[in-house]
Amino acid sequence: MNPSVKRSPPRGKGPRVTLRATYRKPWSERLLEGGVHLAAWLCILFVVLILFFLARESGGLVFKDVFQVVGRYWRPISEPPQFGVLPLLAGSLLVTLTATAIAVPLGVGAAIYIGEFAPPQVREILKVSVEFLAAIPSVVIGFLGMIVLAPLVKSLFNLPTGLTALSASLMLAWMAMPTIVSLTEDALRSVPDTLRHGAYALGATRWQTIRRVLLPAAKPGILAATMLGVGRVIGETMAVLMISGNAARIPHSVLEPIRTLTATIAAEMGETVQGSDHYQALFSLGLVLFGITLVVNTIADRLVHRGETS
Amino acid sequence: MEPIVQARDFSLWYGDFQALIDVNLSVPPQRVTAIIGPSGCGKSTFLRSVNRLNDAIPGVTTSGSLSVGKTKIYEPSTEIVGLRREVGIVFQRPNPFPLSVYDNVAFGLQTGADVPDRDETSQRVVDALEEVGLMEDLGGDLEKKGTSLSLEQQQRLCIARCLPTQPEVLLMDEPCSALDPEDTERVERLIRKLKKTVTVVIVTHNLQQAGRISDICSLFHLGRVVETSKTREIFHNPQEKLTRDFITGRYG
Ligand SMILES: Nc1ncnc2c1ncn2[C@@H]1O[C@H](COP(=O)(O)OP(=O)(O)OP(=O)(O)O)[C@@H](O)[C@H]1O
Ligand SMILES: [Mg+2]
Repeated sequence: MNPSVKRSPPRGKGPRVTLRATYRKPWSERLLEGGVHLAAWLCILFVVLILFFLARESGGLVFKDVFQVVGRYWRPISEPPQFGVLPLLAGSLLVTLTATAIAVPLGVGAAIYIGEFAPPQVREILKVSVEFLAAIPSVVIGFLGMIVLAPLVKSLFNLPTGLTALSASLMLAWMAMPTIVSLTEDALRSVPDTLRHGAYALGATRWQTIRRVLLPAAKPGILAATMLGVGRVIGETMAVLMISGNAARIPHSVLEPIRTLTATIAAEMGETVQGSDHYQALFSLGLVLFGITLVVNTIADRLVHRGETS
Repeated sequence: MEPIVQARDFSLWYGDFQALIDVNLSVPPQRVTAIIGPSGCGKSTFLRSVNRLNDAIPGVTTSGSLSVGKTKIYEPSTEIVGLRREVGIVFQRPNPFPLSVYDNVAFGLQTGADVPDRDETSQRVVDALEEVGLMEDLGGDLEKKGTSLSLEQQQRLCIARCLPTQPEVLLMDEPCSALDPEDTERVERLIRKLKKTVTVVIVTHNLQQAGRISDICSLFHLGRVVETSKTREIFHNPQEKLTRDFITGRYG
Protein backbone atom coordinates (compact mmCIF):
# COMPACT_ATOMS: atom_id res chain seq x y z
CA MET A 1 0.00 0.00 0.00
CA ASN A 2 1.04 3.58 0.30
CA PRO A 3 4.32 3.60 2.25
CA SER A 4 3.97 7.19 3.40
CA VAL A 5 1.01 6.16 5.50
CA LYS A 6 3.09 3.59 7.35
CA ARG A 7 5.85 6.03 8.02
CA SER A 8 3.62 8.63 9.65
CA PRO A 9 4.70 9.21 13.24
CA PRO A 10 3.05 6.93 15.80
CA ARG A 11 0.31 8.64 17.71
CA GLY A 12 -0.43 8.44 21.42
CA LYS A 13 3.13 8.02 22.68
CA GLY A 14 3.47 8.13 26.44
CA PRO A 15 0.69 7.80 29.00
CA ARG A 16 -2.70 9.18 28.07
CA VAL A 17 -4.20 11.75 30.32
CA THR A 18 -7.92 12.32 30.30
CA LEU A 19 -8.64 16.00 30.43
CA ARG A 20 -11.22 15.62 33.12
CA ALA A 21 -8.62 14.40 35.57
CA THR A 22 -6.61 17.56 35.19
CA TYR A 23 -9.57 19.79 35.98
CA ARG A 24 -11.28 19.51 39.35
CA LYS A 25 -14.63 21.17 39.54
CA PRO A 26 -14.99 23.49 42.50
CA TRP A 27 -17.53 22.26 45.03
CA SER A 28 -19.92 25.14 44.41
CA GLU A 29 -20.20 24.05 40.81
CA ARG A 30 -20.79 20.45 41.79
CA LEU A 31 -23.51 21.53 44.16
CA LEU A 32 -25.26 23.60 41.50
CA GLU A 33 -24.98 20.82 38.99
CA GLY A 34 -26.44 18.38 41.47
CA GLY A 35 -29.25 20.81 42.22
CA VAL A 36 -30.36 21.22 38.65
CA HIS A 37 -30.13 17.48 38.07
CA LEU A 38 -32.35 16.89 41.03
CA ALA A 39 -34.86 19.48 39.88
CA ALA A 40 -35.07 17.88 36.46
CA TRP A 41 -35.60 14.41 37.86
CA LEU A 42 -38.18 15.72 40.32
CA CYS A 43 -40.31 16.90 37.38
CA ILE A 44 -40.36 13.42 35.95
CA LEU A 45 -40.95 11.93 39.37
CA PHE A 46 -44.00 14.13 39.91
CA VAL A 47 -45.55 13.10 36.62
CA VAL A 48 -45.01 9.45 37.45
CA LEU A 49 -46.40 9.91 40.96
CA ILE A 50 -49.51 11.65 39.66
CA LEU A 51 -50.10 8.84 37.24
CA PHE A 52 -49.50 6.27 39.95
CA PHE A 53 -51.96 7.79 42.43
CA LEU A 54 -54.59 8.39 39.78
CA ALA A 55 -54.34 4.75 38.76
CA ARG A 56 -54.36 3.51 42.33
CA GLU A 57 -57.32 5.55 43.47
CA SER A 58 -59.30 4.67 40.37
CA GLY A 59 -58.96 1.06 41.51
CA GLY A 60 -58.28 0.08 37.91
CA LEU A 61 -61.91 0.83 37.11
CA VAL A 62 -61.06 2.03 33.63
CA PHE A 63 -59.58 -1.33 32.78
CA LYS A 64 -61.82 -3.50 34.90
CA ASP A 65 -65.15 -2.23 33.83
CA VAL A 66 -64.54 -0.92 30.37
CA PHE A 67 -68.08 -1.38 29.21
CA GLN A 68 -69.53 0.86 31.81
CA VAL A 69 -66.82 3.44 31.64
CA VAL A 70 -67.46 4.02 27.98
CA GLY A 71 -71.22 3.93 28.59
CA ARG A 72 -73.62 6.60 27.51
CA TYR A 73 -74.95 7.61 30.91
CA TRP A 74 -73.33 9.30 33.85
CA ARG A 75 -75.75 8.68 36.74
CA PRO A 76 -73.61 8.28 39.83
CA ILE A 77 -76.41 8.37 42.39
CA SER A 78 -79.14 6.40 40.65
CA GLU A 79 -79.66 2.78 41.61
CA PRO A 80 -77.66 1.02 40.28
CA PRO A 81 -75.24 3.87 39.51
CA GLN A 82 -73.96 4.34 35.98
CA PHE A 83 -70.54 5.75 35.26
CA GLY A 84 -70.51 6.17 31.51
CA VAL A 85 -67.77 8.56 30.49
CA LEU A 86 -69.10 9.33 27.03
CA PRO A 87 -71.40 12.27 27.81
CA LEU A 88 -68.61 14.00 29.72
CA LEU A 89 -66.06 13.25 27.03
CA ALA A 90 -68.50 14.58 24.43
CA GLY A 91 -69.04 17.70 26.53
CA SER A 92 -65.32 18.32 26.89
CA LEU A 93 -64.74 17.68 23.21
CA LEU A 94 -67.54 19.91 22.01
CA VAL A 95 -66.49 22.78 24.20
CA THR A 96 -62.82 22.36 23.32
CA LEU A 97 -63.39 22.23 19.58
CA THR A 98 -65.77 25.17 19.58
CA ALA A 99 -63.49 27.24 21.78
CA THR A 100 -60.51 26.40 19.56
CA ALA A 101 -62.43 27.29 16.43
CA ILE A 102 -63.14 30.69 17.94
CA ALA A 103 -59.82 31.32 19.65
CA VAL A 104 -57.39 30.37 16.87
CA PRO A 105 -58.55 32.77 14.14
CA LEU A 106 -58.96 35.57 16.64
CA GLY A 107 -55.66 34.85 18.35
CA VAL A 108 -53.66 34.53 15.14
CA GLY A 109 -55.33 37.64 13.77
CA ALA A 110 -54.49 39.59 16.89
CA ALA A 111 -50.89 38.36 16.76
CA ILE A 112 -50.56 39.45 13.13
CA TYR A 113 -51.89 42.88 14.02
CA ILE A 114 -49.62 43.22 17.04
CA GLY A 115 -46.53 41.92 15.28
CA GLU A 116 -46.88 43.37 11.81
CA PHE A 117 -49.22 46.35 11.76
CA ALA A 118 -49.54 48.03 15.15
CA PRO A 119 -47.43 51.14 15.73
CA PRO A 120 -44.92 50.64 18.56
CA GLN A 121 -46.93 52.29 21.37
CA VAL A 122 -50.12 50.44 20.48
CA ARG A 123 -48.13 47.23 20.31
CA GLU A 124 -46.83 47.70 23.85
CA ILE A 125 -50.30 48.45 25.20
CA LEU A 126 -51.72 45.41 23.45
CA LYS A 127 -49.00 43.10 24.68
CA VAL A 128 -49.46 44.22 28.26
CA SER A 129 -53.22 43.76 27.96
CA VAL A 130 -52.78 40.26 26.58
CA GLU A 131 -50.51 39.36 29.48
CA PHE A 132 -53.01 40.81 31.89
CA LEU A 133 -55.78 38.80 30.28
CA ALA A 134 -53.75 35.66 30.87
CA ALA A 135 -53.43 36.51 34.55
CA ILE A 136 -57.15 36.90 35.30
CA PRO A 137 -58.27 33.97 37.50
CA SER A 138 -60.72 31.72 35.75
CA VAL A 139 -63.34 32.08 38.50
CA VAL A 140 -63.56 35.75 37.66
CA ILE A 141 -64.02 34.97 34.02
CA GLY A 142 -66.65 32.39 34.95
CA PHE A 143 -68.41 35.03 37.01
CA LEU A 144 -68.52 37.42 34.08
CA GLY A 145 -69.80 34.60 31.94
CA MET A 146 -72.63 33.91 34.34
CA ILE A 147 -73.89 37.44 34.74
CA VAL A 148 -73.10 38.93 31.33
CA LEU A 149 -72.64 36.29 28.67
CA ALA A 150 -75.20 33.68 29.69
CA PRO A 151 -78.18 36.10 29.75
CA LEU A 152 -77.01 37.45 26.39
CA VAL A 153 -76.84 33.97 24.83
CA LYS A 154 -80.20 33.14 26.34
CA SER A 155 -82.01 36.13 24.85
CA LEU A 156 -80.08 36.06 21.58
CA PHE A 157 -81.04 32.47 20.76
CA ASN A 158 -84.27 32.46 22.71
CA LEU A 159 -83.25 29.54 24.94
CA PRO A 160 -84.59 28.25 28.26
CA THR A 161 -81.15 28.77 29.77
CA GLY A 162 -78.05 30.69 28.76
CA LEU A 163 -75.78 28.19 30.49
CA THR A 164 -74.78 26.29 27.36
CA ALA A 165 -71.82 24.78 25.56
CA LEU A 166 -71.64 27.95 23.49
CA SER A 167 -71.32 30.21 26.53
CA ALA A 168 -68.64 27.96 27.97
CA SER A 169 -66.80 27.86 24.64
CA LEU A 170 -66.80 31.63 24.33
CA MET A 171 -65.36 31.99 27.81
CA LEU A 172 -62.77 29.30 27.18
CA ALA A 173 -61.82 30.90 23.89
CA TRP A 174 -61.24 34.08 25.79
CA MET A 175 -58.98 32.23 28.20
CA ALA A 176 -57.01 30.45 25.46
CA MET A 177 -56.48 33.64 23.47
CA PRO A 178 -53.53 35.05 25.45
CA THR A 179 -51.49 31.87 24.99
CA ILE A 180 -52.23 31.73 21.30
CA VAL A 181 -51.60 35.44 20.76
CA SER A 182 -48.28 35.63 22.50
CA LEU A 183 -46.87 32.38 21.12
CA THR A 184 -48.00 33.21 17.60
CA GLU A 185 -46.48 36.64 17.90
CA ASP A 186 -43.21 35.04 19.02
CA ALA A 187 -43.33 32.71 16.04
CA LEU A 188 -43.95 35.58 13.62
CA ARG A 189 -41.21 37.66 15.16
CA SER A 190 -38.72 34.83 14.84
CA VAL A 191 -39.19 34.71 11.06
CA PRO A 192 -35.95 36.26 9.78
CA ASP A 193 -36.22 39.74 8.28
CA THR A 194 -34.42 38.51 5.20
CA LEU A 195 -37.62 36.69 4.23
CA ARG A 196 -39.68 39.85 4.62
CA HIS A 197 -37.18 41.81 2.54
CA GLY A 198 -37.13 39.06 -0.06
CA ALA A 199 -40.89 39.23 -0.40
CA TYR A 200 -41.02 43.02 -0.52
CA ALA A 201 -38.24 43.03 -3.07
CA LEU A 202 -40.39 40.87 -5.33
CA GLY A 203 -43.15 43.45 -5.18
CA ALA A 204 -45.29 41.77 -2.54
CA THR A 205 -47.56 43.96 -0.44
CA ARG A 206 -47.52 43.72 3.31
CA TRP A 207 -50.56 41.51 3.33
CA GLN A 208 -49.20 39.21 0.61
CA THR A 209 -45.98 38.92 2.55
CA ILE A 210 -47.84 37.88 5.68
CA ARG A 211 -50.14 35.42 4.00
CA ARG A 212 -47.72 33.81 1.58
CA VAL A 213 -44.40 33.96 3.43
CA LEU A 214 -44.67 34.76 7.13
CA LEU A 215 -47.56 32.48 8.01
CA PRO A 216 -46.07 29.44 6.23
CA ALA A 217 -42.71 30.17 7.87
CA ALA A 218 -44.29 30.51 11.30
CA LYS A 219 -46.62 27.55 10.85
CA PRO A 220 -44.93 25.15 13.29
CA GLY A 221 -44.99 27.81 15.98
CA ILE A 222 -48.60 28.66 15.30
CA LEU A 223 -49.61 25.02 15.47
CA ALA A 224 -47.79 24.63 18.76
CA ALA A 225 -49.50 27.76 20.08
CA THR A 226 -52.82 26.28 19.09
CA MET A 227 -52.12 23.00 20.81
CA LEU A 228 -51.07 24.73 24.02
CA GLY A 229 -54.23 26.83 23.85
CA VAL A 230 -56.20 23.63 23.43
CA GLY A 231 -54.43 22.17 26.43
CA ARG A 232 -55.50 25.13 28.51
CA VAL A 233 -59.11 24.74 27.34
CA ILE A 234 -59.29 21.02 28.11
CA GLY A 235 -57.90 21.47 31.57
CA GLU A 236 -60.02 24.48 32.51
CA THR A 237 -62.43 23.71 35.35
CA MET A 238 -63.93 26.60 37.28
CA ALA A 239 -65.32 28.66 34.42
CA VAL A 240 -66.93 25.71 32.68
CA LEU A 241 -68.34 24.47 35.94
CA MET A 242 -70.05 27.82 36.34
CA ILE A 243 -71.41 28.41 32.87
CA SER A 244 -71.75 25.15 30.98
CA GLY A 245 -75.09 24.23 32.53
CA ASN A 246 -73.82 20.98 34.06
CA ALA A 247 -76.03 18.54 32.24
CA ALA A 248 -74.32 15.20 31.78
CA ARG A 249 -75.96 14.36 28.48
CA ILE A 250 -74.49 13.80 25.06
CA PRO A 251 -75.17 17.17 23.39
CA HIS A 252 -76.69 17.63 19.94
CA SER A 253 -75.78 21.28 19.48
CA VAL A 254 -73.71 23.99 21.07
CA LEU A 255 -76.87 25.61 22.38
CA GLU A 256 -77.47 22.81 24.90
CA PRO A 257 -76.09 22.64 28.41
CA ILE A 258 -73.23 20.19 28.75
CA ARG A 259 -70.80 18.98 31.33
CA THR A 260 -67.08 18.41 31.02
CA LEU A 261 -64.71 15.91 32.58
CA THR A 262 -63.04 18.52 34.74
CA ALA A 263 -66.26 20.10 35.96
CA THR A 264 -67.59 16.68 36.95
CA ILE A 265 -64.57 15.88 39.08
CA ALA A 266 -64.64 19.28 40.76
CA ALA A 267 -68.37 19.20 41.43
CA GLU A 268 -68.69 15.65 42.69
CA MET A 269 -65.48 14.92 44.52
CA GLY A 270 -66.83 16.51 47.69
CA GLU A 271 -69.83 14.19 47.89
CA THR A 272 -68.12 10.85 47.47
CA VAL A 273 -66.96 8.38 50.03
CA GLN A 274 -63.30 7.52 49.70
CA GLY A 275 -62.87 4.17 47.99
CA SER A 276 -66.46 3.97 46.78
CA ASP A 277 -67.33 3.18 43.18
CA HIS A 278 -68.19 6.80 42.55
CA TYR A 279 -64.84 7.88 43.99
CA GLN A 280 -63.02 5.42 41.77
CA ALA A 281 -65.00 6.55 38.75
CA LEU A 282 -63.97 10.16 39.32
CA PHE A 283 -60.34 9.12 39.47
CA SER A 284 -60.84 7.22 36.25
CA LEU A 285 -62.02 10.47 34.71
CA GLY A 286 -58.77 11.95 35.97
CA LEU A 287 -56.86 9.25 34.13
CA VAL A 288 -58.76 9.95 30.94
CA LEU A 289 -57.91 13.63 31.25
CA PHE A 290 -54.30 12.78 31.94
CA GLY A 291 -54.20 10.74 28.75
CA ILE A 292 -55.77 13.48 26.65
CA THR A 293 -53.41 16.12 28.01
CA LEU A 294 -50.45 13.86 27.36
CA VAL A 295 -51.46 13.38 23.74
CA VAL A 296 -52.08 17.09 23.17
CA ASN A 297 -48.79 18.06 24.74
CA THR A 298 -46.86 15.47 22.81
CA ILE A 299 -48.31 16.74 19.57
CA ALA A 300 -47.48 20.32 20.53
CA ASP A 301 -43.95 19.29 21.40
CA ARG A 302 -43.47 17.50 18.10
CA LEU A 303 -44.67 20.53 16.22
CA VAL A 304 -42.32 22.84 18.06
CA HIS A 305 -39.35 20.60 17.40
CA ARG A 306 -40.21 20.11 13.78
CA GLY A 307 -40.06 23.90 13.56
CA GLU A 308 -36.59 23.87 15.02
CA THR A 309 -35.07 21.34 12.69
CA SER A 310 -36.36 22.76 9.42
CA MET B 1 -25.75 53.75 -24.96
CA GLU B 2 -28.66 55.02 -22.86
CA PRO B 3 -27.95 54.11 -19.26
CA ILE B 4 -30.57 51.91 -17.64
CA VAL B 5 -29.89 52.96 -14.09
CA GLN B 6 -28.77 56.50 -13.56
CA ALA B 7 -28.04 58.35 -10.35
CA ARG B 8 -27.67 62.13 -10.46
CA ASP B 9 -26.41 63.79 -7.29
CA PHE B 10 -28.26 61.16 -5.37
CA SER B 11 -27.92 61.43 -1.58
CA LEU B 12 -29.42 59.36 1.17
CA TRP B 13 -29.62 59.92 4.91
CA TYR B 14 -30.34 57.48 7.71
CA GLY B 15 -31.76 60.07 10.11
CA ASP B 16 -28.87 62.54 10.49
CA PHE B 17 -26.24 60.26 9.04
CA GLN B 18 -25.57 60.78 5.35
CA ALA B 19 -24.74 57.39 3.87
CA LEU B 20 -24.66 58.45 0.21
CA ILE B 21 -23.24 61.80 -0.90
CA ASP B 22 -24.03 63.18 -4.36
CA VAL B 23 -23.67 59.85 -6.07
CA ASN B 24 -23.42 60.02 -9.86
CA LEU B 25 -23.46 56.70 -11.63
CA SER B 26 -24.62 55.46 -15.02
CA VAL B 27 -25.22 51.77 -15.50
CA PRO B 28 -25.26 50.73 -19.17
CA PRO B 29 -27.74 48.05 -20.24
CA GLN B 30 -26.74 44.43 -20.61
CA ARG B 31 -23.47 44.81 -18.86
CA VAL B 32 -22.27 43.70 -15.48
CA THR B 33 -21.48 46.69 -13.31
CA ALA B 34 -19.56 45.98 -10.13
CA ILE B 35 -19.62 48.24 -7.10
CA ILE B 36 -16.56 47.86 -4.94
CA GLY B 37 -15.29 49.67 -1.88
CA PRO B 38 -14.38 49.24 1.75
CA SER B 39 -16.88 48.10 4.36
CA GLY B 40 -19.53 50.63 5.26
CA CYS B 41 -19.01 52.88 2.25
CA GLY B 42 -22.64 52.65 1.17
CA LYS B 43 -22.60 49.90 -1.46
CA SER B 44 -25.58 48.03 -0.05
CA THR B 45 -27.37 51.28 0.64
CA PHE B 46 -27.06 52.30 -3.00
CA LEU B 47 -28.19 48.91 -4.23
CA ARG B 48 -31.23 48.90 -1.98
CA SER B 49 -32.08 52.41 -3.14
CA VAL B 50 -32.54 51.18 -6.69
CA ASN B 51 -35.26 48.79 -5.51
CA ARG B 52 -36.58 51.29 -2.93
CA LEU B 53 -36.05 48.77 -0.17
CA ASN B 54 -34.78 51.56 2.09
CA ASP B 55 -38.31 52.93 2.24
CA ALA B 56 -39.15 50.51 5.02
CA ILE B 57 -36.42 51.91 7.29
CA PRO B 58 -37.75 54.75 9.42
CA GLY B 59 -35.98 58.09 9.05
CA VAL B 60 -34.58 57.55 5.56
CA THR B 61 -34.59 60.64 3.33
CA THR B 62 -33.16 61.21 -0.14
CA SER B 63 -32.29 64.02 -2.52
CA GLY B 64 -31.20 64.21 -6.14
CA SER B 65 -32.56 61.76 -8.66
CA LEU B 66 -32.30 58.08 -9.39
CA SER B 67 -33.89 56.67 -12.48
CA VAL B 68 -34.49 53.23 -13.90
CA GLY B 69 -35.15 53.44 -17.63
CA LYS B 70 -37.11 56.63 -18.04
CA THR B 71 -38.74 56.55 -14.62
CA LYS B 72 -37.43 58.74 -11.85
CA ILE B 73 -38.05 56.27 -9.06
CA TYR B 74 -38.14 58.67 -6.13
CA GLU B 75 -40.98 60.71 -7.60
CA PRO B 76 -44.12 60.35 -5.49
CA SER B 77 -46.00 58.95 -8.48
CA THR B 78 -43.71 55.90 -8.78
CA GLU B 79 -45.56 52.66 -8.40
CA ILE B 80 -43.34 50.55 -6.18
CA VAL B 81 -44.74 47.13 -7.00
CA GLY B 82 -44.18 47.82 -10.68
CA LEU B 83 -40.65 49.06 -10.01
CA ARG B 84 -39.77 45.97 -8.04
CA ARG B 85 -40.91 43.75 -10.87
CA GLU B 86 -38.51 45.66 -13.12
CA VAL B 87 -35.66 45.54 -10.62
CA GLY B 88 -34.87 42.24 -8.91
CA ILE B 89 -32.49 41.90 -5.99
CA VAL B 90 -30.47 39.00 -4.63
CA PHE B 91 -29.07 39.23 -1.13
CA GLN B 92 -25.88 38.17 0.55
CA ARG B 93 -27.39 35.17 2.31
CA PRO B 94 -29.80 33.10 0.25
CA ASN B 95 -33.31 33.69 1.56
CA PRO B 96 -35.63 31.21 -0.14
CA PHE B 97 -39.16 31.20 1.23
CA PRO B 98 -40.21 28.10 3.19
CA LEU B 99 -42.31 27.05 0.21
CA SER B 100 -41.79 24.66 -2.66
CA VAL B 101 -39.23 25.52 -5.33
CA TYR B 102 -42.12 26.14 -7.70
CA ASP B 103 -43.93 28.52 -5.36
CA ASN B 104 -40.69 30.36 -4.67
CA VAL B 105 -40.20 31.12 -8.33
CA ALA B 106 -43.86 31.79 -9.04
CA PHE B 107 -44.03 34.25 -6.14
CA GLY B 108 -43.02 37.35 -8.08
CA LEU B 109 -45.62 36.68 -10.78
CA GLN B 110 -48.42 36.57 -8.27
CA THR B 111 -47.75 39.84 -6.51
CA GLY B 112 -48.87 42.33 -9.15
CA ALA B 113 -52.28 43.10 -10.56
CA ASP B 114 -51.96 41.07 -13.78
CA VAL B 115 -51.37 37.53 -12.53
CA PRO B 116 -50.74 35.30 -15.55
CA ASP B 117 -52.79 32.12 -15.95
CA ARG B 118 -51.60 28.71 -14.83
CA ASP B 119 -49.91 27.59 -18.04
CA GLU B 120 -48.17 30.89 -18.50
CA THR B 121 -47.00 30.84 -14.88
CA SER B 122 -45.60 27.34 -15.00
CA GLN B 123 -43.93 28.06 -18.33
CA ARG B 124 -42.16 31.06 -16.88
CA VAL B 125 -41.22 29.21 -13.71
CA VAL B 126 -39.70 26.39 -15.71
CA ASP B 127 -37.86 28.84 -17.95
CA ALA B 128 -36.39 30.64 -14.97
CA LEU B 129 -35.26 27.40 -13.33
CA GLU B 130 -33.88 26.22 -16.65
CA GLU B 131 -31.91 29.45 -16.95
CA VAL B 132 -30.17 29.01 -13.60
CA GLY B 133 -29.59 25.30 -14.12
CA LEU B 134 -31.82 24.15 -11.27
CA MET B 135 -34.21 22.26 -13.53
CA GLU B 136 -31.41 19.86 -14.28
CA ASP B 137 -30.14 19.74 -10.68
CA LEU B 138 -33.50 18.88 -9.24
CA GLY B 139 -34.47 16.48 -11.98
CA GLY B 140 -37.74 18.35 -12.35
CA ASP B 141 -38.80 17.86 -8.74
CA LEU B 142 -40.20 21.32 -8.13
CA GLU B 143 -42.22 20.33 -5.07
CA LYS B 144 -39.08 20.16 -2.99
CA LYS B 145 -38.86 22.78 -0.29
CA GLY B 146 -36.70 25.72 -1.32
CA THR B 147 -35.09 25.73 2.10
CA SER B 148 -33.96 22.11 1.75
CA LEU B 149 -31.57 22.80 -1.14
CA SER B 150 -27.84 23.29 -0.75
CA LEU B 151 -26.69 26.84 -0.05
CA GLU B 152 -25.48 27.36 -3.59
CA GLN B 153 -28.69 25.95 -5.06
CA GLN B 154 -30.65 28.22 -2.73
CA GLN B 155 -28.79 31.21 -4.07
CA ARG B 156 -29.49 30.18 -7.65
CA LEU B 157 -33.12 29.71 -6.63
CA CYS B 158 -33.12 33.26 -5.32
CA ILE B 159 -31.75 34.42 -8.66
CA ALA B 160 -34.37 32.39 -10.51
CA ARG B 161 -37.03 33.94 -8.31
CA CYS B 162 -36.27 37.35 -9.82
CA LEU B 163 -36.50 36.23 -13.43
CA PRO B 164 -40.14 35.34 -14.25
CA THR B 165 -41.24 38.99 -14.29
CA GLN B 166 -38.51 39.60 -16.87
CA PRO B 167 -36.82 42.45 -15.03
CA GLU B 168 -34.60 45.03 -16.69
CA VAL B 169 -32.14 45.10 -13.84
CA LEU B 170 -30.83 42.49 -11.44
CA LEU B 171 -29.15 43.78 -8.29
CA MET B 172 -26.85 41.46 -6.36
CA ASP B 173 -25.41 42.24 -2.96
CA GLU B 174 -22.35 40.05 -2.42
CA PRO B 175 -24.22 37.04 -3.77
CA CYS B 176 -21.29 34.67 -3.37
CA SER B 177 -19.96 35.64 0.02
CA ALA B 178 -21.66 32.67 1.69
CA LEU B 179 -20.37 30.21 -0.91
CA ASP B 180 -17.15 28.25 -1.34
CA PRO B 181 -14.90 28.90 -4.38
CA GLU B 182 -16.34 26.12 -6.51
CA ASP B 183 -19.93 27.23 -5.95
CA THR B 184 -18.87 30.82 -6.46
CA GLU B 185 -17.53 29.95 -9.88
CA ARG B 186 -20.81 28.37 -10.82
CA VAL B 187 -22.78 31.45 -9.82
CA GLU B 188 -20.32 33.70 -11.64
CA ARG B 189 -20.81 31.68 -14.82
CA LEU B 190 -24.54 32.17 -14.38
CA ILE B 191 -24.12 35.92 -13.98
CA ARG B 192 -22.11 36.16 -17.19
CA LYS B 193 -24.85 34.26 -18.97
CA LEU B 194 -27.63 36.38 -17.50
CA LYS B 195 -26.17 39.65 -18.75
CA LYS B 196 -27.37 38.84 -22.24
CA THR B 197 -30.93 39.46 -21.12
CA VAL B 198 -30.67 41.55 -17.99
CA THR B 199 -28.48 44.32 -16.65
CA VAL B 200 -26.57 43.22 -13.58
CA VAL B 201 -25.32 45.47 -10.80
CA ILE B 202 -23.25 43.50 -8.33
CA VAL B 203 -21.71 44.55 -5.04
CA THR B 204 -18.66 42.55 -4.18
CA HIS B 205 -15.97 42.50 -1.57
CA ASN B 206 -13.89 40.35 -3.76
CA LEU B 207 -11.72 42.30 -6.19
CA GLN B 208 -10.83 39.24 -8.23
CA GLN B 209 -14.50 38.57 -8.64
CA ALA B 210 -15.10 42.11 -9.85
CA GLY B 211 -12.25 41.63 -12.30
CA ARG B 212 -13.60 38.31 -13.55
CA ILE B 213 -17.20 39.19 -14.16
CA SER B 214 -17.72 42.92 -14.51
CA ASP B 215 -17.54 45.17 -17.55
CA ILE B 216 -17.81 48.39 -15.59
CA CYS B 217 -16.46 48.96 -12.13
CA SER B 218 -17.30 51.69 -9.66
CA LEU B 219 -15.39 52.41 -6.48
CA PHE B 220 -17.30 53.85 -3.53
CA HIS B 221 -15.63 55.48 -0.58
CA LEU B 222 -17.36 57.00 2.45
CA GLY B 223 -20.63 57.42 0.59
CA ARG B 224 -19.10 58.97 -2.54
CA VAL B 225 -18.25 57.56 -5.93
CA VAL B 226 -14.50 57.82 -6.39
CA GLU B 227 -14.20 56.50 -9.90
CA THR B 228 -16.32 54.63 -12.42
CA SER B 229 -14.73 53.16 -15.49
CA LYS B 230 -14.28 50.09 -17.63
CA THR B 231 -13.13 47.34 -15.35
CA ARG B 232 -9.87 46.97 -17.24
CA GLU B 233 -9.17 50.68 -16.81
CA ILE B 234 -9.91 50.55 -13.10
CA PHE B 235 -7.49 47.69 -12.59
CA HIS B 236 -4.70 48.71 -14.93
CA ASN B 237 -4.98 52.44 -15.35
CA PRO B 238 -6.79 54.01 -12.39
CA GLN B 239 -7.16 57.78 -12.56
CA GLU B 240 -7.52 58.41 -8.83
CA LYS B 241 -4.95 57.79 -6.17
CA LEU B 242 -7.64 56.32 -3.93
CA THR B 243 -8.52 53.79 -6.60
CA ARG B 244 -4.90 52.85 -7.05
CA ASP B 245 -4.51 52.34 -3.32
CA PHE B 246 -7.64 50.27 -3.11
CA ILE B 247 -6.76 48.06 -6.06
CA THR B 248 -3.29 47.42 -4.75
CA GLY B 249 -4.71 46.56 -1.35
CA ARG B 250 -3.16 49.48 0.47
CA TYR B 251 -6.47 50.16 2.15
CA GLY B 252 -9.94 48.62 2.29
N1 LIG C 1 -30.56 51.01 8.72
C1 LIG C 1 -29.52 51.82 8.95
N2 LIG C 1 -29.60 52.81 9.86
C2 LIG C 1 -28.56 53.63 10.09
N3 LIG C 1 -27.38 53.53 9.47
C3 LIG C 1 -27.22 52.57 8.56
C4 LIG C 1 -28.28 51.66 8.25
N4 LIG C 1 -27.84 50.80 7.30
C5 LIG C 1 -26.56 51.16 7.04
N5 LIG C 1 -26.19 52.21 7.78
C6 LIG C 1 -24.89 52.90 7.74
O1 LIG C 1 -24.69 53.38 6.44
C7 LIG C 1 -23.35 53.17 6.03
C8 LIG C 1 -23.34 52.39 4.74
O2 LIG C 1 -23.83 51.09 5.00
P1 LIG C 1 -23.92 49.98 3.88
O3 LIG C 1 -24.57 48.80 4.49
O4 LIG C 1 -24.54 50.55 2.68
O5 LIG C 1 -22.39 49.70 3.63
P2 LIG C 1 -21.71 48.60 2.68
O6 LIG C 1 -20.80 49.36 1.79
O7 LIG C 1 -22.70 47.73 2.07
O8 LIG C 1 -20.82 47.82 3.73
P3 LIG C 1 -20.47 46.27 3.75
O9 LIG C 1 -19.35 46.10 2.78
O10 LIG C 1 -20.02 46.04 5.15
O11 LIG C 1 -21.69 45.51 3.38
C9 LIG C 1 -22.64 52.46 7.17
O12 LIG C 1 -21.91 53.41 7.89
C10 LIG C 1 -23.74 51.94 8.01
O13 LIG C 1 -23.40 51.96 9.37
MG1 LIG D 1 -23.26 45.62 2.34
